[in-house]
Amino acid sequence: MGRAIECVAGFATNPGATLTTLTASTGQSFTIRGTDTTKGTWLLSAFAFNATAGELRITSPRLHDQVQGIRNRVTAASVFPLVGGPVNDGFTQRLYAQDNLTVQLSGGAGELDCAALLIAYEDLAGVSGRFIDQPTLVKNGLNVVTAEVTVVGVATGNFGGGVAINSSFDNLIANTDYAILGGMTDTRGCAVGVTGVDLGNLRVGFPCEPSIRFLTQNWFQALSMAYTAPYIPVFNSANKTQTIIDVETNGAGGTYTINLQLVQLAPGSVPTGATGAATAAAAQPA
Amino acid sequence: MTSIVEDDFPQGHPKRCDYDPSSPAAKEWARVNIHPKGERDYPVDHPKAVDTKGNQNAVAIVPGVDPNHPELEAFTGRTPAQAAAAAAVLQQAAKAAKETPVRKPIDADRFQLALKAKCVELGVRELSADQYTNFLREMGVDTPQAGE
Repeated sequence: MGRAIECVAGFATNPGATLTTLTASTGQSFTIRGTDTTKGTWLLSAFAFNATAGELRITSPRLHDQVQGIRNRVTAASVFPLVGGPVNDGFTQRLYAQDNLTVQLSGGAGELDCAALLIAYEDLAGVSGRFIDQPTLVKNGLNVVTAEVTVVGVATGNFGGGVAINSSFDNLIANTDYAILGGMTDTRGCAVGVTGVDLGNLRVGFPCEPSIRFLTQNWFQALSMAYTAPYIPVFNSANKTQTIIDVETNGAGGTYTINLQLVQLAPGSVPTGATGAATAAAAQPA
Repeated sequence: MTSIVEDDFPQGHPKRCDYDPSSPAAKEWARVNIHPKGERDYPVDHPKAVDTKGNQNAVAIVPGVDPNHPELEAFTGRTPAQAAAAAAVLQQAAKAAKETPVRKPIDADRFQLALKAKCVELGVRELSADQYTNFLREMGVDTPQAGE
């Protein structure tokens, strides 16, 4: 059992003024995975991509209320964090195992609008990813390196165009751990996803927004510092062909050049089993 | 040796001995120096002054857009013709794009331990592509390709 982060995205087709419940991307669900209820599950961030301004509403009887809950205006063509995120001074909403979140979006009457939630599990049964915190990064980081890939998104509202992290440039050092601080895109979409065996085959993600590159380029590092928890994903270059980058976007599709900001880690600095499974319930992430 | 002629006051200044309020120099001095509404934020004719002809104070600064060339595509700087041509090419590429296959969640710790053990077993620092594929199969990790 261990720590995991999952970026769950969904889309609404032609929602117009109607708050329309999102269809989750293929293989995903807005129902929180089953976890040990004494361990925390957190809504780290949420963001949406609308061509026309609308509203993103997240409700559940387990949250504050099921009427309006967490409701935010989505401005057109700006995929900015609407909930939580690294600039929110580190306070986030607790989520509950098996809770079925109602995620709704309004927007344009003739377009596909989409949104994504970033959910952190402190202890997910049967699944674990490798994550480190800022002190571990500072202590063991050696070199900065970027991984640039080109992703051709699909127009269905699902995650698509997945390519391996070494698909454009195969320059990672053999059998070496790398921390993923964040990434940047040159084209607007909803979410950039990174999936891999080192991440428990779940997808971590960040906003696919080119105008906030200063925020997304160290997205996971900033989340980790904001919430003082290990949220920096780590993968081993031995698994580079199984570390996949993809994009979720609206009905326009698009071709994205994604730059992931990596830090080479000292050998053995992220021992197996050190993914930071939580040992006790906490009021905020730990 | 050339002597330097230094005026006591600039042209058009009211204190000059040859001051003529109707002269062009006096009018220009008054335009630049007299501000009936009070202190200005920028001097007269400053590029940022609101009454400077051609100032860009009302031009919106939009991320990715050159304010002097708003006709260019945001973030890429392509001309409309270039952008249209690129979009047409990318549209073709998008038709061939596939949704990312769903993968079964795994325990990364268990996977990493097994991978290290396999490397030790085979006496290598890193598995070859074939060895890695076989290892994934042994571990029961599904490796669907796009479109499957």
